[in-house]
Amino acid sequence: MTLSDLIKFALSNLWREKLRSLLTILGVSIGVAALMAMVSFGSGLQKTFSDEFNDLELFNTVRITPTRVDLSTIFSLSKRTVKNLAQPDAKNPIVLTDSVLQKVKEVVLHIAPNALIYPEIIFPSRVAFDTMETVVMTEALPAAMANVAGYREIRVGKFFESDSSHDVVVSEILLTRIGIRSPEAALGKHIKLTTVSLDAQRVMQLALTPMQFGMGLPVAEKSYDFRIVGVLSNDIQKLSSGFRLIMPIATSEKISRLNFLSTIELLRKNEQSAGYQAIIVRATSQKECEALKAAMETLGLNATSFTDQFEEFKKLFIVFEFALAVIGTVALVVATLGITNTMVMSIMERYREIGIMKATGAADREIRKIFFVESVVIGFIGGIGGIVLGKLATAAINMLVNLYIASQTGTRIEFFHFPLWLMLSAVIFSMVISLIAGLYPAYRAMRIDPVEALRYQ
Amino acid sequence: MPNSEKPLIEVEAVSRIYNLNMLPVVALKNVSFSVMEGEFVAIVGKSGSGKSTLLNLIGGMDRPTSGEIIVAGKVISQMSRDELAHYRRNVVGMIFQAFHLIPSMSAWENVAMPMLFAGRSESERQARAKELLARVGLAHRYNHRPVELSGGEQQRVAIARALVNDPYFLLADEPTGNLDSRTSDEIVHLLHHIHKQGKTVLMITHDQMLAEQLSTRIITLKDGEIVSDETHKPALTNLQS
Repeated sequence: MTLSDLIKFALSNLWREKLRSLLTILGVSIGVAALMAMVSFGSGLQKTFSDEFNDLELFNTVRITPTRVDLSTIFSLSKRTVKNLAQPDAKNPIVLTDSVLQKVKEVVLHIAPNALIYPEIIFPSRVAFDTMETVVMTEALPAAMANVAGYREIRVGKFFESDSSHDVVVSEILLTRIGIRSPEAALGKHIKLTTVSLDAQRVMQLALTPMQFGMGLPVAEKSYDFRIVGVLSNDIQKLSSGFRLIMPIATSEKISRLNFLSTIELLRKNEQSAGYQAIIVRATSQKECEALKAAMETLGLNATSFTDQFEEFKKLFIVFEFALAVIGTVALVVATLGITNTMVMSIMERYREIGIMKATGAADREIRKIFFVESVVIGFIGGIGGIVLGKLATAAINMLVNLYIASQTGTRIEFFHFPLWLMLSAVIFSMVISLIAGLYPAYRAMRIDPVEALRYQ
Repeated sequence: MPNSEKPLIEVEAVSRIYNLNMLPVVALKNVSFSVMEGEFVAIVGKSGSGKSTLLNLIGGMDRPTSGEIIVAGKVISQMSRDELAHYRRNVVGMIFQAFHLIPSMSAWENVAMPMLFAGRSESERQARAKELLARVGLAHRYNHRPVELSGGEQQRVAIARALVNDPYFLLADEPTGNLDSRTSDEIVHLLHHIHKQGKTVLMITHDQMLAEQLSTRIITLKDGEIVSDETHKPALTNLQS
């Protein structure tokens, strides 16, 4: 029998038992849809990050840190995080002082003359407007960032034009937390930024009379007035929690603040002298970025590019996608048991028919092929149905989750991504699994004794 | 191709013993005979005489416990499963009492089914089925399914199917057993006509009268053994189809 004859034969046999075939195909479709949804979720998240990194030109960024970043521990909870602290360079971190910053600027000038170099300054602060107040991570950036992707396409208003002004740009979600209803309404509004810093006088008192420790931490609060000049684009908000306030870098130097981001950071700092958390170099291309990274390493600095981080990130996604694929595969395997059941039922019903075929000259392999092709056709139709079902279901989930995100003034995220390879693989995988499901029924059909089958009523 | 000087079918000392609940049941005992090309041989006998066992053995659907069956010079009792399938498809044309048509297939699809397994194209199959359905007087039933045909018409479709690969001989098992007398006559005439055109026919029947009408030779089986083997002048010798 030719392949087209086998396919026609299979379709006509499936059509004979429409309801049973439909239910079997539906089972496979649900299995494929589950597999697709699982893998496309992992793929979607990876694509979202990858696209955003690309859009924001983050792959052109080199980050110089006091200690070497063990990338393998960034996205995992392995024991290596603990081990890393015992490594020699962790004990002797490079203090990122202004002189280091100056040296970096000199080197960068030769490799990437148009690169932007600035220290990473992030600190917690309280923001208040009228009677509303919230806590936000405040970031200090140079005004030249106005030309960098993500900051260039500011949503409303403009990026601050001077490194020493008291202008800030904020994220939309921050506005809602301080009671400003729309980005347009925020422009020109003055907000109060309150920071905490160590109170030198009280620290001294504590050193002399430790008994006074019970009076509370030796910190002092200071408030500053800032004017909102711009609201960030949605794109730049996707990569952060959404709460962002960006102030000019020179202004940030005049702000009293604690030089840590978290309690853990505070505890770690006891071994570290004052210095920047990191130095950021934003080149204009990925090629420049790689050259810069090499140059920084030659200087003895710990440089990490976003590309390196993303590679580690991708490894994590592979594990994540694999775990999701295993769950999806279980659903598909369960569905294919339905194929075996359907085919066995079909053989019992077509017992005599198989006998007739054999009596009139069908070889064992022809009978086997008939049942194999029937299984594969179920797998193929189920696979196509699974793609449609998977797309519909994930579109619905995506819509519902994004409705929630929109209600929280977040930015829209595509959680699911269906690349062509995924759809093709799903159909092929479904067909292969169906073929395996058809092995036993096909073997059973092949072994039917024509004499017995012709006697069967 | 069969050699006209040598027998087309040779059954040599064939026995078939079944095991029924661990007890041996002898269905055929040392049966020997041969059939020359162009003969119309009827194998008659009562129920349980071993007729069907003999049909299954000559039809390549079963293997003898001992002895050999040689068709057109080839020992079919020693063939592999694949070779037997090829034999059933190309060397023998089977006609059954219960017609054994596939209900979901149309008349032409049933007729052309053995060609399907031979890998012939759809156009070839359709053309051949059309020709054979016309030959058995069912050109107008080309697209009809078995359920839409009378018993006689179904048997004619089955005869067309048996002829589709132009086999060396036809093997008919009680071809009129499920038909009324009028439609039986139609089938009898058709078989006679096919034989007259030169096709060797081996017919198994319990109907002595049918055997006498059509056969040039009658072999009688009793309790798995040949009790008589006589040449015969068929009653329908001068029939014009």
